[in-house]
Amino acid sequence: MELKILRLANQNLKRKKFRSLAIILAVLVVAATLFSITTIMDSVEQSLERGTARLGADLMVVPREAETEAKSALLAGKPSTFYMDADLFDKVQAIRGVRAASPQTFLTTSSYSCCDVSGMLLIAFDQKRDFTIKPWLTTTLQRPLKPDEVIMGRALTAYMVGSVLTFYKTPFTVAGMLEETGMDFIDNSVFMTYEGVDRILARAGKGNVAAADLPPDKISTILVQVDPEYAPSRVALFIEAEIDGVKAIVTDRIIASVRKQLFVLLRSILSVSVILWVMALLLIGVVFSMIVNERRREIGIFRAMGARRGHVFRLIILEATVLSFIGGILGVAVGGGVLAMFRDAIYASLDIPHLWPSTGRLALLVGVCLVLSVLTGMIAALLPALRAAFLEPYEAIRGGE
Amino acid sequence: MIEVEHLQKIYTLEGGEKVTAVDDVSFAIERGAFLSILGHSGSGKTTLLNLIGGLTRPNGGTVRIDGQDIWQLADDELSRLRNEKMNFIFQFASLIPTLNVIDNVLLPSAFGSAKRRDLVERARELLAMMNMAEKEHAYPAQLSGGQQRRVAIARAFINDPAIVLADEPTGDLDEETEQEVIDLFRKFNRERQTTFLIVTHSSDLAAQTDRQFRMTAGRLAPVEPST
Repeated sequence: MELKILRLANQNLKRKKFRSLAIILAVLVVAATLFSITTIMDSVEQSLERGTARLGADLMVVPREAETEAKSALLAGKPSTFYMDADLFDKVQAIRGVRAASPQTFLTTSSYSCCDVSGMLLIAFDQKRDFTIKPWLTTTLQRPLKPDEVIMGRALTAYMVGSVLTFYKTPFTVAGMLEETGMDFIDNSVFMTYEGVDRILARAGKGNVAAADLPPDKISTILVQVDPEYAPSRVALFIEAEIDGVKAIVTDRIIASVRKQLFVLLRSILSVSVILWVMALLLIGVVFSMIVNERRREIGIFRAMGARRGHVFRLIILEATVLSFIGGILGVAVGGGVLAMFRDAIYASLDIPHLWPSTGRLALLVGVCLVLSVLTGMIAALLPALRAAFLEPYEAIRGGE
Repeated sequence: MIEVEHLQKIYTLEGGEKVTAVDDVSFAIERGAFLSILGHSGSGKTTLLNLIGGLTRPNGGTVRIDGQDIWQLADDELSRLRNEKMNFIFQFASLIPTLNVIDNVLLPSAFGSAKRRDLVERARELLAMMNMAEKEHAYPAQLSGGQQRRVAIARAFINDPAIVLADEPTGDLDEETEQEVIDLFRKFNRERQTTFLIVTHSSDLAAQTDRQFRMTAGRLAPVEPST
């Protein structure tokens, strides 16, 4: 039965090309906007989730005056160097609620005279205490990182595994690449062990001027994992209360702040999408009301030929479904196409971490957009469809005269 | 098989004025009847046909088909009755403009249990009877008024109905085709025991039916055969 009704709906849509195209276009605009916005939002969420999971830290302890710089380094991966005394590490480790802590030191490759690449963030980590890189080492490299090796973030694709790079006139071999997180702090950084830094410093006496600038006994941050019994924000308060001159950044709050930032940025776009959606609903509703008015006699004839109210209702809803489904598919294609073409520019202007969704997630987003598109058509056509279904056959026929 | 008792239909006009289109009409006809209802425009004959066909609800009275009061049926059951037992020929162009000729003829199959493919051959036969076989893929807009009427007549027989309610069925046809249509009706009437209720203002057409009624100002009266 449904196939017969679908055939009737299809015949009508094919013969009313202009009207069908107008509805498809309305849904297309909504679906394209919806798909691109949800994809951007999802890519940021994914990036934050994976990035913080990779970071593995509940807190990031940095010099108080470097809070903004640290957040900027974490979120935007902007190379920045700030330092605090290395002996703060023992103090942090002794604070209540701290389960594990790991120091990191940030170095920047500031000039071509010292390094192969300028403007890159080098992160030295303590291989014994680390919980950021170590899980990857255990599962992927399956051995500790050697002092003369580095690991590259995923975005540094120009450097092949096995190639040799010079930092502060000291050669290092690329041992591997981390998986993509979308957070520039991880994806655009080069990781080496403290033993690697010692190798650089050892060359300081051999005419390595640049290496002589490296701060001895200084660290940039202490990453902290909190005991499950304690809330990260509470441990952050303990740290700030007991140690002068440091700021304990709660990583979850960074996510919240990015979400807020993202929301502010996308609020206006979302408002436009909501307006577009309402306009599409109204447009489709008005068009289907017109269709029902125009087709009163036709509906009356259907009823005379034995169509039930349900047939008439389904016929109108099916027409709306078919059109909004086509509009949804085209909208997703257009939205996806625009994103694919301009995604670098879009993310650069937003300046937030992002991770292009996996195929599975993309399929989910496409599915959600299609369902919403179809629902838009169905909701818009609901009242006209009910009105058509409850027309008395003879009234419908006379109304069409 | 069709019993109409005290049937009444009142329309309320926009100004609130009430018009009795069908006024206390009663009659009964057996299966296989071939009758006509004569009357001027506005006499209520089309409304009466639509009341019998279950297309508009009466203000009073009953319509029984095979003993069943059709206005006591649920809407779905009434629709099924129309789909399986009845068919209509309307006085206006009643083809669906977005469907081609064969799909128009097959339209009732879209709403019933009969499979479309089982009826395609029958549709072609009916179109051939109406000299429309070559036009099966044409759309209504590509046909003349008379051709559209012939397709509508072909459609009226696709579900092998027990009752055909025909409202001015030969309105757009020339005399020769009109006679062919009446002959076709008669053929179905004799061979399939199809009951025909034909509304017309043509005395010549009415004269070819077995029984005639005349509708005047909503009231129905039998036309006595002239001696």
